[in-house]
Amino acid sequence: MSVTKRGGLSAITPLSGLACVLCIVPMLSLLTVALRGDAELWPHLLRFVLPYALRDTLLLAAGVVIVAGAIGTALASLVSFTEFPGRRYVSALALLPLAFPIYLHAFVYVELLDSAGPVQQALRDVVRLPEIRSLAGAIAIFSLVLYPYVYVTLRLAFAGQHSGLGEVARTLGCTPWQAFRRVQLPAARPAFAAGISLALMEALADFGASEYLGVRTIAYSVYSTWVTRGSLPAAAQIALLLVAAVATLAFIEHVARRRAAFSQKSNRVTPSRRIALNGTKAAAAALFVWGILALAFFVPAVFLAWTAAGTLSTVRLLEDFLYPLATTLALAVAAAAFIAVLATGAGYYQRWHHRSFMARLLNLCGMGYAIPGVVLALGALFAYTTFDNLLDRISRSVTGYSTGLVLSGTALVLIFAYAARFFAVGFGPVSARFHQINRSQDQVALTLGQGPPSINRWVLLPQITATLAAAWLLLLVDIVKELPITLLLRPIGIETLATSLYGHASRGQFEDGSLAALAILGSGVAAVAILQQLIYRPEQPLRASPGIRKVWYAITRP
Amino acid sequence: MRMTIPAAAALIAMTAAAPALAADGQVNVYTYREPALIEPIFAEFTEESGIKVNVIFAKDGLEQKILAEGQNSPADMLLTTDIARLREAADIGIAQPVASDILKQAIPEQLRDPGGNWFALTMRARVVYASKERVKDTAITYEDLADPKWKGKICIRSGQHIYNNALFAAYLGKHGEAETETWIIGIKNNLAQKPSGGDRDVAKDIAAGVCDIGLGNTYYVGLMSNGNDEQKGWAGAINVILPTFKDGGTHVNVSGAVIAKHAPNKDNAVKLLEWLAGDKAQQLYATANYEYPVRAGIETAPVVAGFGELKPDVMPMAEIAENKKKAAEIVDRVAFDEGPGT
Repeated sequence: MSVTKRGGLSAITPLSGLACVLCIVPMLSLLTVALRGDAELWPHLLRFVLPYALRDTLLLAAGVVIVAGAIGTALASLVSFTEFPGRRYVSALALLPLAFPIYLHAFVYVELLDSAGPVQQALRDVVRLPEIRSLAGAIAIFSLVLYPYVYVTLRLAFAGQHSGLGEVARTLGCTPWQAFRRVQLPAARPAFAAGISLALMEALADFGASEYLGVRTIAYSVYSTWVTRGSLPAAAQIALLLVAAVATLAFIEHVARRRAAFSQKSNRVTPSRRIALNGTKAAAAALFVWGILALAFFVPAVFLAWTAAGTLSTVRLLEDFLYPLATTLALAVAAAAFIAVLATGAGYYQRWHHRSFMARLLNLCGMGYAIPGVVLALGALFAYTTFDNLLDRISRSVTGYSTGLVLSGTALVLIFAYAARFFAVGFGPVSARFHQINRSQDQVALTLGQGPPSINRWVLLPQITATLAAAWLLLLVDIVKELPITLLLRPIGIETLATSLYGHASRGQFEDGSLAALAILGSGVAAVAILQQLIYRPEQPLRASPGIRKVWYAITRP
Repeated sequence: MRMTIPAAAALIAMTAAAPALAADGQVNVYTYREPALIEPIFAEFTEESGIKVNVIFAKDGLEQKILAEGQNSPADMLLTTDIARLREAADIGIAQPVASDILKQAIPEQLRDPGGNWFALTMRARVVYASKERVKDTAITYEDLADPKWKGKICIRSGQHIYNNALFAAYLGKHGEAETETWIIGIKNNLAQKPSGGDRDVAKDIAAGVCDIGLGNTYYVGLMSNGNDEQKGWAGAINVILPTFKDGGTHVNVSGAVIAKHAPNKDNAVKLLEWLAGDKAQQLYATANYEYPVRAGIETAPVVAGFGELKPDVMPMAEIAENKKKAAEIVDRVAFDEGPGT
């Protein structure tokens, strides 16, 4: 057991262990499915399926890295370091697109922009717009929904950066732009990596929206290999190869980053002074950010609201709206808290035991985010039903009493599966934040006689609370809009906003689900509004006892 | 964490809220059919029989779910579309045979499993949507779709979608692998754009002038005709032609049900199945979802009746299901989903 000097038995190791188990178990169960099959289908897949899928995947991924990365970085930098008209509002609104499920965004834009949509119909004698159901369309839509991951991690990183970083560079002769490009931006690289990898993994795991847009990625191959080519083992094999590829990429980035240190000597974080942009530059900046916000959020949101308004007279308020809303919120709040706690435990564990096996394993845990949700759901389903049936068999033979399915069909399994899917969303920001906190703080506290539990509580926790809350909210937003896992694993009779929307949309009666869609958006917007408050507030020490305060001062004011 | 207490409370509340799974007066249905469609039907059933229907609706994976849950599975019935799925349920051993004279009388022989493992409840035809403005043909065969006269004029959703997959599998049963491959290449060369979207988008694209004809299921036309103004516009822009195979009828697929092998409420499930094949439910399927009832003597919805008389092809459903995998491989081989000119 790790940390017991003061404060008794630490919960950190068990929490990390639980995180590992919950994340790895569905993947292991997929592995057993994969091993059940032979390679009979592979010559066909290699020749006729995967080359196209790989091409579409790489193009989509590259597009998302470039476009979402550029938008997220540009917005975070402009909002953090410059002053332009409406900056405060932008800062508050830039996260909102995160509230959109990708499939919803795709659906709205196809409605608006395809050849029979209002825009093309209005312009048909003037110009023919490029087809929205295309690779370029998919990149645009994915990037508009996913850039906030980059934006939020960079904002947090910039807010946590020592203001001296830019100032020193400038006294050394850099222009503000050079200081930003050469010092402040590179210093935020772990945060960028964390943000873009979340965006990327979500893009890789999607197949509903991309297939609808005519882009068939590896995730779609996994799905179609299961459903139409009729081989679940082969589908599991492809899914695991996808995970292996993502893990390799993550490992390469990890190695590349290891040579550089990103933590800071001091924790005196006064926000950098923002540079006021002048006339043309200010106008250009404002035009750019407001344009992005309009495309990413306002246009589709207004469209949804308009559609929903048309259904108000026919909608069943209780069944179609209030009941799913309450269920969704209860589920999302609980699951997000659970995953945030796991992520915190894991973050602490990695800090204290960064060379241990489990610390390395934790890095692998986030890979569930790159597996198509329905495949991960199957993995979780197999694992937990196996457990239940084993328990049942043992109980029958020992006591003669059947336990039935203990876990399966309860909300608990759903939450466990969410943990496997979304661990990265909680762990990414927390882990990036821990990297930012200089280890010398721990060492100074240790030399001052503090044990790890008290360091965790009084030195580290105050510095990660805002990040933790941010992670919780990101998780909340993701869980509210999650569809495939919820569909397959929810208890009988439970309807969430996303499943309710899907129920209508799958029959093509999208309008009847638009109120639920709006509620998904609303929940996301509420979460994002709180999230936004956190980014403004740099991490502050909590109330501390005098002894602890002494340690704190020793660390922060050397 | 302070959040964990309310979280745990919510969790317990939700777990406790799950209904008792094996109980008198209940039946548990796993279904791929949309809630808005089946809820009214189940509500009628509950009113008549007093049996409450608990439903799980999902998009995929319910067969695997029942299989994994094993003998502890709460599932009594799997209600699904697509013949291949019904067959798979029987093949992987999650169905149990039902011997019911009521079902035998209600459902024609070719629409149920000889072994009693699965029963079709409705049919849907895969038909040609044709532009009212630009297409003068009133009859067409599936074979004609590969005719170069349609070059650049056909819209279709992904060739791997189960609706197209089943049609291609039926074609394969008629013409063999080599001819089917040539035919699918022919259709691919006739496409106006890369396959994407759904059947509704096909109607929409025809309305917008992107293409002249396309393939879609019959009930979408009914749904669009009774949808909002925009959808009415799409439905109004197309004629439905019931195509046939050269020496055969129109390709139909089915929706249907199996009774789960370990059904804890088997009697109630059989009652429900018999009820679904009865007059009232069959009429609801026909009028609310514009499907073709399997039971004789039930009228189709007026909009569906307007398509003309349906002459379903006689190929056994089982044969279509068997060809499914091969059809999927041909679609891969000719890179159908890459679209025209590739």
